[in-house]
Amino acid sequence: MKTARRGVDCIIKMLSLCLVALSASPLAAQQLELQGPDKVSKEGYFSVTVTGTGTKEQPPNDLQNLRLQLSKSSEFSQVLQEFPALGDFRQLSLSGFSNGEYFIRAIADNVGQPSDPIKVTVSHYPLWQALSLFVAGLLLFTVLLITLWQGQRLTNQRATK
Amino acid sequence: MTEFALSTSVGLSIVIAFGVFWVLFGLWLGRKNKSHEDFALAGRNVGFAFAAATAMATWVTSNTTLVAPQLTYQFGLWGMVGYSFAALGLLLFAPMAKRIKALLPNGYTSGDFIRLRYGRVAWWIFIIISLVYAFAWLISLGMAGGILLESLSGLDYHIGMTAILLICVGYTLFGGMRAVIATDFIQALIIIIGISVIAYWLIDNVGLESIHQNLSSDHPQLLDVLFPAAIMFLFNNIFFGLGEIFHSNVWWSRALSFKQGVAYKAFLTGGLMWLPIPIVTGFIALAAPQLGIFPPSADMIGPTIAAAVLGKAGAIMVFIIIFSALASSLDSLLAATSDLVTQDIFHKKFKPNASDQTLLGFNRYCILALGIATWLLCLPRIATLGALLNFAGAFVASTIWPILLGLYWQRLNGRYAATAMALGTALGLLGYFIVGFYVAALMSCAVSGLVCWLGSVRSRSAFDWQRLQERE
Repeated sequence: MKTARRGVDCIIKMLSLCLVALSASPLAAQQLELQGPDKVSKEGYFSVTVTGTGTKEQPPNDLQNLRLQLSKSSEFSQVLQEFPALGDFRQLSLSGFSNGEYFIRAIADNVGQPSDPIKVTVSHYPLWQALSLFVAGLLLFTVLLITLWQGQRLTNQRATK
Repeated sequence: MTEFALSTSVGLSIVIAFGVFWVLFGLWLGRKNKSHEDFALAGRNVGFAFAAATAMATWVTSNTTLVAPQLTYQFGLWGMVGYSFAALGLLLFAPMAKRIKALLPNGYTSGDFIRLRYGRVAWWIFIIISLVYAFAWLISLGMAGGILLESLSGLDYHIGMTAILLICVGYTLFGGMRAVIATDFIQALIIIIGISVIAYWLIDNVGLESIHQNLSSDHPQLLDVLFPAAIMFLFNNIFFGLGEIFHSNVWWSRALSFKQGVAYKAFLTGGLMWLPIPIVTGFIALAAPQLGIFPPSADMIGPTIAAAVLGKAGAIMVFIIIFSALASSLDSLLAATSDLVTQDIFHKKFKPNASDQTLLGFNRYCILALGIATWLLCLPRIATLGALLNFAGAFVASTIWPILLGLYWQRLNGRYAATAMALGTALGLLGYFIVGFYVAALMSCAVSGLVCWLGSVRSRSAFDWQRLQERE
């Protein structure tokens, strides 16, 4: 008797699941995917693109309140920041990141699951390298200024003679 | 659906209204053009007010209105401060413009100077550099028109880009340099007043303190004065700006079209008026995180934020300002590049006996052809504006030393000048692809300078300045 009842319960549950699945909007079945930079960001800025159903050609439509979440851990135990997408655009350009590893995932109100997170690594150029270029530029610019000033001075001298 | 600041129909209406106004204005101004010299150099009679306005307005371009906010969004404080250093190009060109006017009272183009000063080989290299740069700038301006309309009104990029090209080609075709300078004057007024209002509005509505707080906590790198990539970008940007102005016929044709004694003061004033503009346009981008605006492409940040803060009326204002900025540069570049092709290639190379009317006609066809070529190259949105422009940095920075030394010093000869430009460009490009865009112009200028220095030391002959006085 118990076994028969369990069987009926099981059938009812399965039918209910099928009904829920059939009545759900197509968006609920969609999955968000993220594409980020494929190499280390040395400038602290990068772009992230949200794609749906796996291809750029078939992005999900009518995503409500699409946003990116940023965390330092892949489990997103603590969401550090949220970046809302602009209008219907599916790409976000983010900037101002310090050195470190960041995990980003996409989330939308009408899509059940957030996307799988992607990892973005930011590693800025070494400061000595940046300052070396700065000093080289400063020297070159100073030489240029002196040359122009000298040239102008000689021209004025010739003109007054 | 996206809530754009303007509806597509409003965006299109502004474009059409502006287009009709500028083209009719160009037609009206074009009535005074009787000769090729009138068309190409506005009769060499431009006074101080128009001269200073055209210098400033031409330099306020997609660089300042779209790329300055882009670089601020990416590089923070250094992005906007570094960008404003591009004013050094105008300031340092001021004494050079005076010298150009004195050395080439009958000259037409920067190509004229290179050909007479350094000979054919250097001239060919210079023409290639000039055309690469002109197309990079033209494409960036056409793209900027499309991006502007797309970010403010959602209008398809291709339609916006086509509209701005059509309008600028239209009035430059009819009015020539006279129309370019007159429209620049009006556009300069619109830009200065408009940008001041937006900055005030932004500070009043968003507040400096809240912007600073948000950046400090969530995007500290943007406030870091030791931001490595930004430090690397600084002098590269300065040399890029110097290369752009020193070599480009846009600026030479202005120096030659100004009245005697005007060029020095006009470029100096234009430079000083330009200096604060990238700081204001760049500052707008710093408000992005506070406002929760993260654009799909960094070069859309300026107009997107301005529209978000200022609402519909503000969006119309932003639209008009950026449209004016783009138009003031696009028309100048179309006019100057077509002058270069007409005078340096068509006249000097193929038709030395061409009549004035033939040159005038060819110049107009050239503007049209440049417009069509730019449109075709703008169709695929190949890169962000910043990336596109910085690529050209490797080319133009190699001309800084040959131009500077060529104007003031007699020792540098054509062989070394040509080598300096070719080698500087090649190594600048190598730097661009291997290291990054921050070294392209710097490397190009350094290598070119080294070759020029070597050439000046080794040269035994002195150039005779009289050889620049070419007769028609």
